[in-house]
Amino acid sequence: MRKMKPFVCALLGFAYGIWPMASSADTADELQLKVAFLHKFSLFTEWPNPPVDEFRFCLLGQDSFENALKSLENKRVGLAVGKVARLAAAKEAKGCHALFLRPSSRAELVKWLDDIGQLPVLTVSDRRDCFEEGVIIALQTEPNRIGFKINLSAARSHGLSLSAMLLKLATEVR
Amino acid sequence: MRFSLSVALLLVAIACSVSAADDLLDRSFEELLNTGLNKPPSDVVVTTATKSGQNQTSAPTAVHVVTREDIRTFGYRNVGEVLRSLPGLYTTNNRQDVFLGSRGLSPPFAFNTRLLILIDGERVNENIFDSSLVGGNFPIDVDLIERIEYAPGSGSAIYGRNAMLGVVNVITRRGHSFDGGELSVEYGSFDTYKARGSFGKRFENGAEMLLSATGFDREGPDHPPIWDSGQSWDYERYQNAFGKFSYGAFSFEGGHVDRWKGLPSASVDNQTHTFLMSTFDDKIAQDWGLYLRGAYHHATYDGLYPYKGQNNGNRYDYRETTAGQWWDGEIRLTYTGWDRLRLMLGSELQHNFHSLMAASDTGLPIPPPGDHFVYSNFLVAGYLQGEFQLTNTLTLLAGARYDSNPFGSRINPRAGLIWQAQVDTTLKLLWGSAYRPPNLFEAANIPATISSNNIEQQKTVNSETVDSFELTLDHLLTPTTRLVSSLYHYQLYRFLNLSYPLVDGPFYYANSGRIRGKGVELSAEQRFDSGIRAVLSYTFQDVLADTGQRLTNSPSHMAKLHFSMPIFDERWRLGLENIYTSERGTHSYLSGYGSARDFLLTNLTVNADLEKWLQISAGVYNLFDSRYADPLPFHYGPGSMPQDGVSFRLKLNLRF
Repeated sequence: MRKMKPFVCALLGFAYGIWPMASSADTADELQLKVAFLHKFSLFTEWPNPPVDEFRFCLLGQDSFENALKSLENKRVGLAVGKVARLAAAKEAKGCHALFLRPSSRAELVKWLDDIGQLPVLTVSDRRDCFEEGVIIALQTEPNRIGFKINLSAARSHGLSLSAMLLKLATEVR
Repeated sequence: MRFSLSVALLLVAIACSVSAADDLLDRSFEELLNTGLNKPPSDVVVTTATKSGQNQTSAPTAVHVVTREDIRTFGYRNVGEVLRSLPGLYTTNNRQDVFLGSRGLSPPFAFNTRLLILIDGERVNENIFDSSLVGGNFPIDVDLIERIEYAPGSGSAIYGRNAMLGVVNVITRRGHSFDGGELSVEYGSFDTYKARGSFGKRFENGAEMLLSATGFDREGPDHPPIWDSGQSWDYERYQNAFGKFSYGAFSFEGGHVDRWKGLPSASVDNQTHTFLMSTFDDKIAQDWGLYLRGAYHHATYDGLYPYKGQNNGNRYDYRETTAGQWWDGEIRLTYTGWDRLRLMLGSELQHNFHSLMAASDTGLPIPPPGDHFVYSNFLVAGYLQGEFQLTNTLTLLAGARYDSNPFGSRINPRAGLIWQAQVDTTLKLLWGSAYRPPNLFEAANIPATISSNNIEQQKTVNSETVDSFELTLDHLLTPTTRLVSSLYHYQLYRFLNLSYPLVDGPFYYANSGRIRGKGVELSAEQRFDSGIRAVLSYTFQDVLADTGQRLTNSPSHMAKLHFSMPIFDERWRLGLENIYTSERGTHSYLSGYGSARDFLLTNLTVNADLEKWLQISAGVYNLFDSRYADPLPFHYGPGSMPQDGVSFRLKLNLRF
């Protein structure tokens, strides 16, 4: 027990010394953070026909995302005002500017991308294999961060132009 | 007792935590990229368990991930320090090398032969000792690591030999993560200096490059001379270099390390490892993925061990040298065209085209037989793995791998069930078999210099095999608390270990009986809005030989706490690491059976991003100056090697 004394003193010293210094760092909910990224991607992308009045954020698939996406309703994207729509099928993607894809399987993702074809829609997903399948921006969840990868050739085939800022901040560009 | 105090500390932190919520949508892009997650995410993609990407929660075992951020936060100085932070892993330092133990198995003088270590997917266990040591001789500077994944359990069904107790994959940073140059300088206790220069960049077409070089010099603590030569040292010096270039689906990288280690016995050890590799990874058709990898390696070891002649007291030198050169390659095809089945087919080759082992001893009148030989061989392997989606919540993983080697061929199967019982609960059951053939060092028994130099005639050693069974639960207890628990049992057959026919005479490797291991690895991660994070883990392991005796260097209990919090303002962060290891048995010819007492190690690091171009870090290691020692091999004499007391490190990173 004698040996413990310096340890306890040091620990108390540590506790009293450090806690008053406690600060806070930026943290957020994963889904809300992904929505914030979707918003930023929209700000740094150019469409062949730029959105004027309305900027349509669309969602396909699992609806746990729908609530988080609501924060984009009426949010400004350049000159346009954000509108959120949940699609029943990928064929309805016409008119969407940014489309978040949350498929339940790889097969579903492939089919959706096929249906979307080359529409000028910014496709974004967080499914693990979405990058290989041709989504333009793939969100990647790190243990304590969200990052993203960019598929440049997919962006080109949808007729979209991504700003240098996006390309600079992406973890990977292919 | 000390550990519970640390836990108490954590509870105080919880009480003190304050939450900060502001509108995420108004943050800048950079701020978003630096925003932490307030809950443990379930969709972190890992690749080490099955060679294909899957969410951490749906991997067949409890895959643990350590990130670049963690490495910084806790001030890890080498890969060994990173890995011992994980549940079930521990290190042993004999002041020559840092050995890694897993699941209660780390017999002294086993050179990490039961864990497979990869750098960016490429095997780095060399071809003489099958070893990849995790101290200064690891080919990659710890600052160049993006993340380390550890997949515990049998991995031979997909990785082949040595993946007996787990697979560690060290994933290097991309050039883009530097986005310019970085100069890093360190100074620490025991006259330790380290300097690193790195440059990384991404070009407009997406191509990336990274170049980095490191120099390290540590004088080390003083030790009394072990024999009357009057000499004793504990220095470590190394240089390493790494380069990486990637464009689209192609990637090329190369690394080199050259390390000198002085030992308290006045011995000197020099190890080098150089590798070059290239990979291709892309879709080649609608449902087909192709992965190709080819690599060349050259690894050398040179050890000079002076000793005092028993009759005349003169100094004699025992010297051993090994050099291995090999190339290896892998081809892997993935088919994803079926709705419920993902299929992977692969093959690996390794050509050990030049393996040299030599020994000399100035104390012997004539060179001993078997003092020098050159060997080459060719290893072929093929594997198949299927992931069947049985229902929406149930996945079956099944696979097997065939491996040929000079000791006979071997098929290792593996089967697992992954059941996502609820959105926040996954249950995994995994059975697998794994193996390792004797490595060249074990087969030739060179230190004894008594054996034949023809490995084919050396039928005294055989492959070691292991069957393991484990049950893993991954559960979100609350949205901010993640629990991972693994319950495992393994039986290892023909345990290949050192044998000492004469107490202080030559030794050699021989197979003995069966080893049975069982244990539980629990970890709980808690996050707070304020950016406080804590991971608490506890491991119980019980590893017994056939005789019912516990193995040496096998602690029954380990507990680890990793706690970090922001201090002052958002630029500063404090990381506290506590590692408790219970008593470990020792056995040596001088002190017989004994033990290395339990210990608690406390490391404290403070990091600050003072400016965009300036980062500082200050760390105190073994803060409470715990006296502890790591078990040594039987033939060393003393039962254990005392470890360093309190020490510090200051580090400065300049970016330009």
